[in-house]
Amino acid sequence: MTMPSWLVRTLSLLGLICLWALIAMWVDSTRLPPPQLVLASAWQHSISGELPYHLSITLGRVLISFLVAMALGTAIGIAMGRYRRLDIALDGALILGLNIPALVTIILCYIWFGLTDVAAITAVAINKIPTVVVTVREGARAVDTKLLAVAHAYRLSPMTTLLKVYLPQLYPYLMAAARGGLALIWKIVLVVELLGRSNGIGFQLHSYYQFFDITSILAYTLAFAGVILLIESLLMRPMERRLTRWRE
Amino acid sequence: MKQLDVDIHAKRFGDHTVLRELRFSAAPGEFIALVGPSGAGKSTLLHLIAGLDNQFTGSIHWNGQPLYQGNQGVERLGMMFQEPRLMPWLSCLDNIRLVQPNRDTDKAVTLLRDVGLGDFLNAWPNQLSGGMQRRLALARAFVVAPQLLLMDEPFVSLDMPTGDRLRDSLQSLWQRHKPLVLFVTHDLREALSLADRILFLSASPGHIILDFKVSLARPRRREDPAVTALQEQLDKRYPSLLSGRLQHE
Repeated sequence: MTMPSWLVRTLSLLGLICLWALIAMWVDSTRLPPPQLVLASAWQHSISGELPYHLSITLGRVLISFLVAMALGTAIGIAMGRYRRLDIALDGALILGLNIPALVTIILCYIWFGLTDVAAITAVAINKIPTVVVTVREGARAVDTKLLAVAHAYRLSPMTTLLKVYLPQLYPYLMAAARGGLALIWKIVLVVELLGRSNGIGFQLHSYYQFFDITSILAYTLAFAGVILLIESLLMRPMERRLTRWRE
Repeated sequence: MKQLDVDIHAKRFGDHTVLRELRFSAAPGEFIALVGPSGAGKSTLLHLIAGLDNQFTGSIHWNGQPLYQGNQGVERLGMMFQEPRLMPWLSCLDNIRLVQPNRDTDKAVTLLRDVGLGDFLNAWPNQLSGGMQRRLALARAFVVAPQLLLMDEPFVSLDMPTGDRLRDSLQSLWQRHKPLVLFVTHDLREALSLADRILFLSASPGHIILDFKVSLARPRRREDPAVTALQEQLDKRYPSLLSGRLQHE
């Protein structure tokens, strides 16, 4: 009998938590609190309303910067994949964008636009857009012009051509960009919050770091990890399955 | 009455001239085969008529109107390519509905039944055999009720029975809907078994060297004795016809 994949995933996660518990027991120090303490702390922070508040603020920032980065990155990526001249013209900027440290864009955005949410989201989007562009450009280069000729011969409207003929060819690339994108954005949003916002998980982590409150830090991390796993299993995986079911 | 008037002065790809002084007219409902050696520009010609390429000198008129000069050209155009060119992410039914302006599901289903794919409405194209994929592409070409149907070696590299079944389906669909058909092939027997008229093309740069009427009774099959007899007759009279020459040089 083979195990269903959800069971394998759950067991592997439980294994990780057990490993953590074992190490915590062995170290026996306040620097590594065991899972049950962290869980209790997460519960405390949750019922006080503090954790949900900061988590929702962070989620909002992640969502907006994700959407902005995906939309702009996809548009630029398609254009660069399609038009050779534009590709050459923007390639230098792209390489620069890929390699500028996140910290630099964050600091500059805060200095130029003030310590605001707009600056924070701009900084995150700027960090993410180049990687979306690179992935989507690859997809746009691989688009099958023979299928586009079918759309042209049958006089499909530009909208139908885009939605039914063009974009489906990009879906695997868009999914890859979205997955990688979410992972990167989570990380950068926390840094942005730590450096210049007065709420959100990044800000909270910073505060607990000042107090050396490791249990709370881990509690926030745990809540955050839970949300990521939920998004992955309830949104990303089902969406990917739906978009690629014709390959079976 | 002429429906299609093709008058191509020249079509070039870079320095290479593919078509030169190629002219013909076609009446509504005619089934015309275009036969010529490879590289004679047969596919290029179809692309020009379909509006997929408009870089040429000369003119193409449809019902007296110049084609693709600020207009949509042929209003209802069906096209079959050398490969089935189906959208792999759309079910069979959705592949057909994709090209229908009004998304008429009943009509799409009827046509899929006509070509023998009634049990595969919700299958993905890559679950179908090569012959079934061509049938799907054939149904797609007819679902728009085409006035003009362009076919670019649509049944190439199929085994004989599969090819025969597709040619039968094509003939019966054509007789029911009567579009003007331009059918590119390099297989003379296929041309003789399908067309009313065969235009033989020269080697590159392509132009028409012979406009041949086929008046055999329908329905015909590729292996019919009458087809064989006509093929032999043509071979005898023009031994280099398929290489694109009327006479031996």
